[in-house]
Amino acid sequence: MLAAVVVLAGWLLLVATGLPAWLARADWPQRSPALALVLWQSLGLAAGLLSLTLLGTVALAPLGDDHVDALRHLRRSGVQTWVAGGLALAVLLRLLTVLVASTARTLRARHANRVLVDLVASKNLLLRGASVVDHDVPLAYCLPGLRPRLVLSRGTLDLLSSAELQAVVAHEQAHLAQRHDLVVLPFVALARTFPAVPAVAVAQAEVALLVELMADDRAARKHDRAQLARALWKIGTGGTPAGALGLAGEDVLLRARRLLEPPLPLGSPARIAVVVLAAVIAASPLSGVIVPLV
Amino acid sequence: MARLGDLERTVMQALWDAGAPLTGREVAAALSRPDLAYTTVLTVLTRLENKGLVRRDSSSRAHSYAPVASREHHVSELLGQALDQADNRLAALQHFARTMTAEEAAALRQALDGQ
Repeated sequence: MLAAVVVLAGWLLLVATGLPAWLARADWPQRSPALALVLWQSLGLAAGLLSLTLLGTVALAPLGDDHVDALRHLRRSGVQTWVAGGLALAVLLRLLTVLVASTARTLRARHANRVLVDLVASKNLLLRGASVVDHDVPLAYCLPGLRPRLVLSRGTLDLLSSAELQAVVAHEQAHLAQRHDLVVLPFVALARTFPAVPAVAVAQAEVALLVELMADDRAARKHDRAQLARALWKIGTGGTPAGALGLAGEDVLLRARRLLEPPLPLGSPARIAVVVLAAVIAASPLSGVIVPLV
Repeated sequence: MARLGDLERTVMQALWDAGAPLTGREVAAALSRPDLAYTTVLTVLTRLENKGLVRRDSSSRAHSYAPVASREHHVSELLGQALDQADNRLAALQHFARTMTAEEAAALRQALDGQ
């Protein structure tokens, strides 16, 4: 029991702190953002499941030699089983309720915005049906969902050249087509469940950046990378009221540099290594159930 | 669905242009769209009322409708939501770019000029 708990706790510590720190510092995610995203997803999944496996192991250990044996003797449950089992249930419930609440809140905010967009914006058929709001502040965003909207403002249309505008539209369309909102959603929920865990905040920020890189790459298939970089600069400096868009991230600069000097994607051996690592991490919580409770 | 959305915009525009509450008949007349049935206009007005965009005055026999807020108000409301950090952190909206600091802008300008 002690051995299993120590091994599980050590692995959880690595998955929840060491590996995220390494991944956030690494340079290669910029080269193959989709692969890095898969690794973040497997880390997130494994961290959540491992904490449940760990608590489950502590709960079942006094009851038998392995999980099947222990489950057969649930009637012998003592204080340790009740406390650890209750804690596992509480963590699971909290994760699920925050995920639901966070999703509901996001959907509400999107719906409220879509009502206003449909009310005051006019559809521009030359820009793939984008909704154009008559305002000076440069806006360029999308409202993901079943009835997605791509929102631009007159300020953006005035600011960008036609080629830059088409590139921006392609970037936002990539978000909508690849449903990046669904990718980001669980990480937002995770960050709201564990606001005090630094690795969770790091994961959310990294995932948000990775989907931007993926949208940039998708847009760059059909549009000039330099045009997209120029659009980033123009909108990033385009007279938004100071502080309105909040924290200026280094990510805008990082994205622009990456567009101007695109790094080579990872080679096949490295790609395979990342996929295997992601698979091992994602499957690891299962091993906690299979190994004996010694 | 898209057509109904367009109708809502058209009806709202008619109410904004009127500057005073209109009855359903008056809205229908203001639209100058003979293809639209009066009942359709009423349906659209009810939808707008449900969305909280239109207020209905039932004091007289013919109900009259007025916009809850001006067009400009709704535009600034939209902007407020779009620039709201809390909502963006929830990933409700996906912005193309965020504001850069002066240093970042200078660094990027240099990189662009180097092209």
